[in-house]
Amino acid sequence: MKNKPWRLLLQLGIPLGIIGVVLYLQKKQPITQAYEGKKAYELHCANCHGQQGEGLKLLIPPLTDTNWLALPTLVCIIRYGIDKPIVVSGKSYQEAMPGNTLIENDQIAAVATYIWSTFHQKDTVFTLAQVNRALDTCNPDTLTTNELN
Amino acid sequence: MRSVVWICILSLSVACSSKPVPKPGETPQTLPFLGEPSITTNEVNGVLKTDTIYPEIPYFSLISQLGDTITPKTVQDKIYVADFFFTTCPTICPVMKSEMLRVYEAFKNEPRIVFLSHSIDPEHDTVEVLKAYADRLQVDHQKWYFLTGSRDSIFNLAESYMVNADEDPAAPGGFIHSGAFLLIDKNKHIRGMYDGTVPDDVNRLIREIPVLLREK
Repeated sequence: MKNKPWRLLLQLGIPLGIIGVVLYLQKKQPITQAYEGKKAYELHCANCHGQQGEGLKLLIPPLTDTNWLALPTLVCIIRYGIDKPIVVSGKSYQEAMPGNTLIENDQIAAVATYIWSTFHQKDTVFTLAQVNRALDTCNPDTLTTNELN
Repeated sequence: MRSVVWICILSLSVACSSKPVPKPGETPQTLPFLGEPSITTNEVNGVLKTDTIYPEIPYFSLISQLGDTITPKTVQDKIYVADFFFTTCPTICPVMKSEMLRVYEAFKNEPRIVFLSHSIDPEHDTVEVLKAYADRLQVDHQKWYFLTGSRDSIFNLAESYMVNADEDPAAPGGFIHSGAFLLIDKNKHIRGMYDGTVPDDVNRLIREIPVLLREK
C-alpha cells in the first residue's frame, strides 16, 4: 500500500518527462540556430562588419540594406565575396569583400538567420536546403540586386 | 534530503562568487620605457657610472596619403601612435582601424598627438590607394598619416617598433603582422604596446595617452 503511489508517479512521470524534454528541445531549435549563427557571425563577419553590423565608415558597409540581404544574394556574397563597387543604404562602397571558403553551408544558413533576426528583427529560419539551392544558382560575376549600379 | 539542498545552495553560491571580476587596472603615474635597453658601465674619475639607453625609433622617410614626405622631423615635439597594416587585409585590420578610430576620436582636438599607420604592402598601397582609404575612414590627413614607401625600410622599421610583419603566402591577404599599437614619446622611445584588436587594451591606451602628454 505504501509503495503504490510512488510507482504510479514514476510510471506517469517518466514518459511525461521525456515528452516534455523533446518538446522543449524542438522549441529550442530556432534559438539554437540563432546561437550558432551568432558564433559564426562573430568568427567570420564581425571583424569587418562589426559586432552590431555597423560596418566601418565608408570602407565597409553596414548590414542595414535589406536589398543586399535577400537569401540568394546574401548566400552568394558570403561564399564568394564581392568585387565591384556597390551602393548600400544610399552610400557607395569600393573595397572588395573576400569570399569565405572556410564556412560550411549550414553555418551560412545560421549566419543568414542571425543577420535577419538580430539586425532586422525578422524571425525567419533559413535552412541548409535553401542555402544549397542558392549556391547552385550563384554566379559571382553577375551578382545583382534590385539596386546594383 | 535537507543537507543535499543546502550543499546545492552552498556550491552554487561559491561557484557564482568565484567568477573573477576583472579589475579596471590602475593607470600608472608614468609610463615605462619598452624594449631592450643597452646598459653601459664606465669608470669616470674612479666612480662607476651606468648609462641605460632605451631603443629609439630610427630615422625613417616615408610618403603620406597626400604625397608628403614624412620623417621623424614631421612628428618632432609630438607623441604618436603607430601601427602596421595593409588596405586589403581581410582579418585583423578592420578591427584595428575601428579601434584606432576610437583613439583618434578621443584625441581629435589634441594637437600634440598624431597617428602613423604604416602599410606593409606598399606595392599595392600607393599614395592614391591610401588617400582613398583615408577619405573613406573620414579622417584628417594631417593628423592620421597613412604611410607608404620602400618595402624593406617599412619591414625594418616594423622591427624597431617590436612588430612582426612579413610576407606569408599562406596567410589571408598574403601578409602576416601583429595588431599592436605602439605609443611613442617625443624622444622616439616606445612607451606602450597595446593589442589593437582588443577593445579593453585600446581603452588602456586611451587612458595612458594623457599620462604621456603630461610628461615634460
